[in-house]
Amino acid sequence: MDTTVNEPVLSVRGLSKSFTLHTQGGTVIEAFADLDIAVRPGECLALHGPSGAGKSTLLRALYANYKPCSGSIIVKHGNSQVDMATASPRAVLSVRHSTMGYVSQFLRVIPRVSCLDIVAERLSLHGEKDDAAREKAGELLARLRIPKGLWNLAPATFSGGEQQRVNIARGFIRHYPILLLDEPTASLDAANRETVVALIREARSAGSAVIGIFHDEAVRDAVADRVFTLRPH
Amino acid sequence: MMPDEISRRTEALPGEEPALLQVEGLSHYYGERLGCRDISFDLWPGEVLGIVGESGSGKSTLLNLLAGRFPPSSGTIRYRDAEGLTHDINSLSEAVRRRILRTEWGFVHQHPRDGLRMRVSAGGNIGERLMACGSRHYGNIRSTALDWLERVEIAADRIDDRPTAYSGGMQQRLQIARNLVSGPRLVFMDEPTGGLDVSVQAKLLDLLRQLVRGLGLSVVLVTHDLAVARLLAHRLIVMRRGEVVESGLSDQVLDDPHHPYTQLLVSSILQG
Repeated sequence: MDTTVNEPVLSVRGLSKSFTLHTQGGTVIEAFADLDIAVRPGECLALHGPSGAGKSTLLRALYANYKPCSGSIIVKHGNSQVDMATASPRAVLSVRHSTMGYVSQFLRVIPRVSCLDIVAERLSLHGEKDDAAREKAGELLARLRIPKGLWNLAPATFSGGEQQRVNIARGFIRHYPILLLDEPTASLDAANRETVVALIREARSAGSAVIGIFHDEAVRDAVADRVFTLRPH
Repeated sequence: MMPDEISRRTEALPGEEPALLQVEGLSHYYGERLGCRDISFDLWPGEVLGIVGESGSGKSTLLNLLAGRFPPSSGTIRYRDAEGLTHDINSLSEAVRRRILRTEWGFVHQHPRDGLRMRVSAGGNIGERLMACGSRHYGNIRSTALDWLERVEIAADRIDDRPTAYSGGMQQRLQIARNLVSGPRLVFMDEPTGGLDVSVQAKLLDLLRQLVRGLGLSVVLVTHDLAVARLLAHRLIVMRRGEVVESGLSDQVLDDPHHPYTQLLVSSILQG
């Protein structure tokens, strides 16, 4: 038996984040302070708290999109450990490449790249042949009810819900040991919400540790086994 | 806020090649006037480093120093060539310097006319670079030129036209083809999308992104356009008045800027 299975894949210790707005008189906004979190393979932790409590900021800090002021974010990356709070840019990119996936609230659109290629790229960057990558991307887009007629279009002109589903497909197309989800069902109808719930459950079964913000209570109950509450400052 | 971060020596990650470019304490003065001061960083294989800042911040001075276009007032630039030999860029013999410039480096100028020969056909512009690298067979040169025109989305029947008959966007794509045809390891780019219409810019950006990723190029990219920097660069250096004020992972610098100047730059972007 593998004794490392129950070790956390992500351990947060004493994590604090504030923003100093130099262009607005040096105003300091505290997002959160002194957080401790541990997540193990297959677990799903739901971040809970009112708007402005720092949930999205915490996810972004875990992904090293925001730089924490203090504390550590230790990630199991292959056979090594990386502290996302202090890692070099190259180490962070390496973690994002293979260990940590992130589904943001909004798709940042790349001009001219088709939605099929946006999703397939995640596989081809890992050595999958272009045709096979596109085929798998198509299967997932179909599952998320993106009409085939849109696959070869760049998503700039898609509706909010369609863009969100392309974003979800990109996050779920391959296995990430850690998956960060920021309101993945926010602009989806009931049928697509069910699909996303199924995708999250499948990811957990495959061993992904999931940390997410789920505004929808039914979705949260369906996917999460623990809740972490953030309090506004 | 954290200019020390840029000079931090980071070891190669496991299984990775050593740094391609090592820059230490680089400063340049135009007489009394400061060009740039005390710049240090490493560039790794396959890495795209963006240098951002306003006009006059010293970013073009830095780019020209890195490319060995003029010597710095002080500091060193070490380049590790394809054979694994490390050279001090400012004490190269002319022969080695020319070999590296022709075969291992590229330089994409903001204005295509600075990087193209305007009186020579498109095919000739690409072929000239190949011949400088030792190609002699006309048929091979022409077929390689055709292949590269296709890769930069220029129709094959335009191969015998001069760049003067091309649009600005096509000229820029031709300049990129001329630079990449010889398979360089390191490409310097000075505002490559700067002089183009927005719609043409998007096409060029996408093309650059694909080429850089596909070829695993190392790039030093100067741009004042933060959207271009976000899309192309892994890592950013923010310059003001000749000095580095902030550096780090591109999306972190742009989404969570710490230095007052970076915050001002980011908050000045118009929301589209």
